[in-house]
Amino acid sequence: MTEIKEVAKYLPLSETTCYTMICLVEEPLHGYALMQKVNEISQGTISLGAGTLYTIFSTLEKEGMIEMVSETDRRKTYSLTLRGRQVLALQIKRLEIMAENARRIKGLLGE
Amino acid sequence: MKTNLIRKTKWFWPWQDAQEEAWLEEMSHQGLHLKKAHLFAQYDFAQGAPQNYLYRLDFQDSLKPKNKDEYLRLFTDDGWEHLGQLGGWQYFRKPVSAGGEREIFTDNESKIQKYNRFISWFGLAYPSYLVVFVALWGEPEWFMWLNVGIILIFSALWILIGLKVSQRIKELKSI
Repeated sequence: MTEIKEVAKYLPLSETTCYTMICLVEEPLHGYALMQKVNEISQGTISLGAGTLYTIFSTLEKEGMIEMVSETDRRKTYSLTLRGRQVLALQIKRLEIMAENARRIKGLLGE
Repeated sequence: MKTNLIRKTKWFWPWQDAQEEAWLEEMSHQGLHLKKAHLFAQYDFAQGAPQNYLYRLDFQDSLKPKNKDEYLRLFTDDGWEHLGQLGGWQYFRKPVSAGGEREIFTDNESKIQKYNRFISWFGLAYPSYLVVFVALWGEPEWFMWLNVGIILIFSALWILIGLKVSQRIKELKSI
């Protein structure tokens, strides 16, 4: 079991990185499929450019958070590793706390 | 039919890549479509009907062949045509009408990393030029002075580019 402290150094994840990892929890995906899925599940709030996604893939792979599971037609399919899942779980905890606070003060914002 | 190629010289500073993209788009509005980029800021344009194209630049100087396949595939899947590279600058284009994502970088973090790749490349490239110049050091006297001149110019450029690109990174970080 990886020490929590050791994976905590990656936090907070950027919104784009977080969505990339969320998509890979359910199924391994290649880049283009992932771009479309992120756009869909984020209800259009996040779009991933090709350059941005390539940067995210390289970083996550280098840090051992995703791994390539297959390659067809020059498209690499990645899945989330155990380490990736641990990092994402910590990030989700942070997001839940934030969402709780957001809900609490939402009514005070007016308009 | 043979397409007419028109060659233009256009220098751009590495922190002004967005302006370069806009300039290439403007050229396409005038019916001049980038065909190939050459060293020493030479661009070949093919003449044709005016088009609404998006041009985007990435900086990747050290992609291994197996990574480059994956890299280019990601772009072509999203509708981008790779026009080639110049130094480490990668030129991409797609018609506005193709739809899909208009940008290749959609967060600040990846934009910052693009400039960081440029800085690492530039930071390494310049000292290696310096080594070559020092190795060529010697008589005759005019040659020595030429060397000094070139080194001074390169040093000034090194500092200018380093400062300007760092400033661009700082701007992106503060957003």
